[in-house]
Amino acid sequence: MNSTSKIWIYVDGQKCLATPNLDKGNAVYGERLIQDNHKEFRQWDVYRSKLAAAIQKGMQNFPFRVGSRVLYLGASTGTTVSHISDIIGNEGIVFAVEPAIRVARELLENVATRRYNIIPIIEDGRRPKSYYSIFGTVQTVYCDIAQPDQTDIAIENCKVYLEKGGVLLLVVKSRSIDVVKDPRVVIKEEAKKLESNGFSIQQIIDLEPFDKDHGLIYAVYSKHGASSTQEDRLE
Amino acid sequence: MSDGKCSVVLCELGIILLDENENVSGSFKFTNPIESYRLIKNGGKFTGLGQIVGKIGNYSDVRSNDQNLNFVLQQNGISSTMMSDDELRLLLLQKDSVLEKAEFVSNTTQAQRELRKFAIDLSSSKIKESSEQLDLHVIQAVSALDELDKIINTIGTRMREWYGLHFPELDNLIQSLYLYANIVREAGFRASITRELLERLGLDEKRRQIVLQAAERSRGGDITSENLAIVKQLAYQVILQTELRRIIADHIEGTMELIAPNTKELLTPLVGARMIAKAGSLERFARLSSSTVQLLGAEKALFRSLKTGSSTPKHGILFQHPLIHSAPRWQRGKIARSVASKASIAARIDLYRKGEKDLSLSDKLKLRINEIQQKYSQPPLERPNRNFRNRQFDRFSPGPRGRGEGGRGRGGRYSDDRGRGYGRGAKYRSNKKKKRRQG
Repeated sequence: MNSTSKIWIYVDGQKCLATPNLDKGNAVYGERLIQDNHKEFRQWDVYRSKLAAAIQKGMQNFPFRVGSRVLYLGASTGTTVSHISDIIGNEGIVFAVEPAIRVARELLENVATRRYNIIPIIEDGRRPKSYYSIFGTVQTVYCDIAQPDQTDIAIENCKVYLEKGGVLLLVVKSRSIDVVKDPRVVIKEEAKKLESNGFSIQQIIDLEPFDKDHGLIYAVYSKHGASSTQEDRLE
Repeated sequence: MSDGKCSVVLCELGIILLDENENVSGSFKFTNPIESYRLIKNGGKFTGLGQIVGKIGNYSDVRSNDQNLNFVLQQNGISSTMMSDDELRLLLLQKDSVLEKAEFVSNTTQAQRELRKFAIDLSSSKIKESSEQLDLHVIQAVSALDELDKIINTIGTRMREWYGLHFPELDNLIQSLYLYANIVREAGFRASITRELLERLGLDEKRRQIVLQAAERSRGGDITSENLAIVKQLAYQVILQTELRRIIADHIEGTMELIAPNTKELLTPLVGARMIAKAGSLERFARLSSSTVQLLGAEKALFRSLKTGSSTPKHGILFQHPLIHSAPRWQRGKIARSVASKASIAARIDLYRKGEKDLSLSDKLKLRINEIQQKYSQPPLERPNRNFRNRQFDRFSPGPRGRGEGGRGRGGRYSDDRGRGYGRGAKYRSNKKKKRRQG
């Protein structure tokens, strides 16, 4: 796993996750800054970021690399966004969508205005065509929103923006979908929903103990968005 | 000249006119992109399309990428239709090159830079605009008020306790914290409490007498002036915070009258403000169903009942409404339901009619509540055919049972409707109870 090997570094003899800091000297959410070989790294907290938790729990493929184009739904205050921004570097671009004003304020202040590869979009993920300042397709859609219809929102966004063969990382918060159902059942149902919409599931990662009742689905988009509606009708 | 298709494209930096072959045949660059873009998107009147209108006039089949742009074009005498979904998507994906073709930017790197600048500016203006919304300020105010209550209570209790070493009798004589604090602050030593002071603080002659007598024969110990100085400071804090609380409460009432007069009328200012706070904003509150309004603030009890089959809550924050907490408990659920249903309508009137008062709502509510009070004036009898063991007695009879009865995970203000013996919940509930007893 070459692409992920870069994000493991050793601190005081312990292996931990970190990303090279794009915004030198600044921490985003109080994380530790580490000097290593004249380069500055930011420690990546597995309890704060579900993507970090997924890597810790054995994610097989890592879709983000230098120059990646990413659509991030549910950017919140920008904890995970900032690490993705570190990884993809200034050649890449993240479209960070967040509808809630309160957290978007921090996203803007601490992350988006300081990093040139982030485009902040304050819009509801349910209306992907209303996004402003977005252009072109993306290679990865990362979706972490606590809504009952989160999977449908992710699929809608993929249909518009995700290129063929692109990757969807879907964080499933089973408690937001159904409080009563068993989390394992919920995540399987969401995975099925993805499969029937032209995704193939590569891996499902349980984020316990870092996040309770959360899972991350790694899915590859095999259909092209524009034609998918037609094929759906044929089925 | 009057044939051929064209597309009018609203983008972040301006409006672009594309002909059939996707060539740019006209463009209009915004001088203030954020303002113009938002104006059009919000369906406002955009004037100053300028010469691009004439160019569009050369085409017969006009399409655009935005519903509100169609509206603007219509005002300029051009009828246009929406592009198809596939065309829209294609356009989104080529946005940077379209911007370049229209010569809004010189290359794609600059396009990205300009779009990012636009995104940050537009996002900032959205944040600024929404931070000016008065309902957000009401939410902060009502949260501050609840926190002040806690603070006043905590330091007030400490003050009573501490001053009680010196003058223990006063604790039982003066109920109000504010009054107590004023006596401590103004008099200090119990021997310095005078008739004039008590009169000034509004005590009647009988109570003045009692306090003065108690001070004379007090069983409390002496207090050093250092200690007294600190207790006085505590008392001063209680006074200050109580006054601040009053200012905030008045302010909430005033703001609620301004932004949500109907909600305020039906729910009282504080309960209304707490509801808005719980929902997140007036708009979100107005979008809630009245069943949600009824249970706002009782989420814990609701999810517990969904999970374990225990009885459902009847009211959340709504319990603080004087109509509900002063009602007999068998009426509370019904009253809560009718208040919630009217409150959710009130919130919608507040949001969409902006400050218009509609008195018919509270009249209807009064009518319904009278009906409930008459129809259910007597407590319901125990249903004979119930599976509950140990429940033969009338559950509403005042007896030694108290409220703690009813097993684990019950009790508390939201759960006193246990014993409604109908529906699936009740059946499930009784089975569960049996199992628990056997185990």
